[in-house]
Amino acid sequence: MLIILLTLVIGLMLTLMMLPLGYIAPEWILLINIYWAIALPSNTKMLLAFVSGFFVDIVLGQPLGISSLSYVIFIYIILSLYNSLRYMTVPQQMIVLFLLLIVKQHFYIWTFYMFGLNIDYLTLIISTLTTAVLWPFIYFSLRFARRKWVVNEG
Amino acid sequence: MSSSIFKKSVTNFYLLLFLISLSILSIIVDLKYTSTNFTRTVVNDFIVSPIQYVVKTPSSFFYSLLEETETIAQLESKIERLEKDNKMMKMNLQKIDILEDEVSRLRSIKRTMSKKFENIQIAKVIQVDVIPNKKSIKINIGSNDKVTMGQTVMGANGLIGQIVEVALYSSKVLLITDVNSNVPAIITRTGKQVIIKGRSQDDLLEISFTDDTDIKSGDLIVTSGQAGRFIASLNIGRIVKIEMNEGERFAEVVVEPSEYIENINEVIVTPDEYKDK
Repeated sequence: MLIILLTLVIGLMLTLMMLPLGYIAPEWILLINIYWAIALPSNTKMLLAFVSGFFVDIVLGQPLGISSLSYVIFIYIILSLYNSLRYMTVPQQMIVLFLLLIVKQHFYIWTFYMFGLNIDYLTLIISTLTTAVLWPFIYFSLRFARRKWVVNEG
Repeated sequence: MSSSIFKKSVTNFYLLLFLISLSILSIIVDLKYTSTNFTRTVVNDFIVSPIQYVVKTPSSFFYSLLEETETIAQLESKIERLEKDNKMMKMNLQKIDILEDEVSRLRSIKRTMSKKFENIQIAKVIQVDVIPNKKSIKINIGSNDKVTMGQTVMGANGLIGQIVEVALYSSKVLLITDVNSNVPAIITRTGKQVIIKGRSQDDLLEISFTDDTDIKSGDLIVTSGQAGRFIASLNIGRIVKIEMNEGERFAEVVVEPSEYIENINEVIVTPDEYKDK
């Protein structure tokens, strides 16, 4: 459990580092959540997505809950596709993730406009691309971490 | 191995609904009570700031990367802004030039107005409507008193007319309110040269010119002394009415003469030497 939290903290650090990149930066927290959702699927991963979404909103200065809304729905979809996702190869997972991320980003931009805020529509393409491309890196590094500090529950 | 891998479904739909409603609630609450949030400050102070402190060096690396590209754009926008300011200041300078011209013009009018006219002759009006179909008066001095054709005739308040016929002991004066009379004039405020003509319907004057810019009711019209016809800087009148008719190309501007032309008893005949030839 602590390892999961530690990886989330590292993800938060990465998000803070890449704040000046704006929407070009990949969504590290989301990727880490996806990995742990596939590796150790349970309902607590949805709670984890909710809480980490709050942290992302605080760091990015957005209304508290916008990212957590989209993260929760996304993790729910990942958890329900868990049986198929677990047995795909990593490039296949990357492609599936990319398509799902486009849907998620649509929803994200929609909630922004629904609450009267403005967001650059270009985030749809660019951030999904950068996020999806980094999936293998996250997969292998977090798998290494999971195997090294044996994480079985959580 | 965790037994959760062999569970039928790992997701709880009701948990999803609960979390979705919680998120929406939190967005609404956060948007309503804006950003001086307790949770935000707490989390920022205790969790995010240490991370930011650790992370500062790599992020400053990214910032300096972006700064390189931003500086050129910044310089370009600064140049644009400065050029715009320059243009505005030059426009304001032009306005100052116009104002300086107007002030010097007004000063010169004042100077010539206060110039003492010597050798002026005061004459009495002995007959009105002396020339058929023209507004004119007859005055009681003539060539015996060295009156010549074309001399300017004015009253105490402004221009009246011009001498058109000289007899031995009398002369005829064509009034400026006659339709045949064209007085070269100048609007004091703007310096625009116009021609003052008489109107047939009443004893007012009018100007007709195509562009109806920068003429206001109440503007003072004085003689401009063009073509040596009249003495310069004599008061003619003030604009009382500006009628812009949409169908016609000219705006009708009505000037009321400063001198009460209908009922004149005495006039001043000024000699030619004050004219600009």
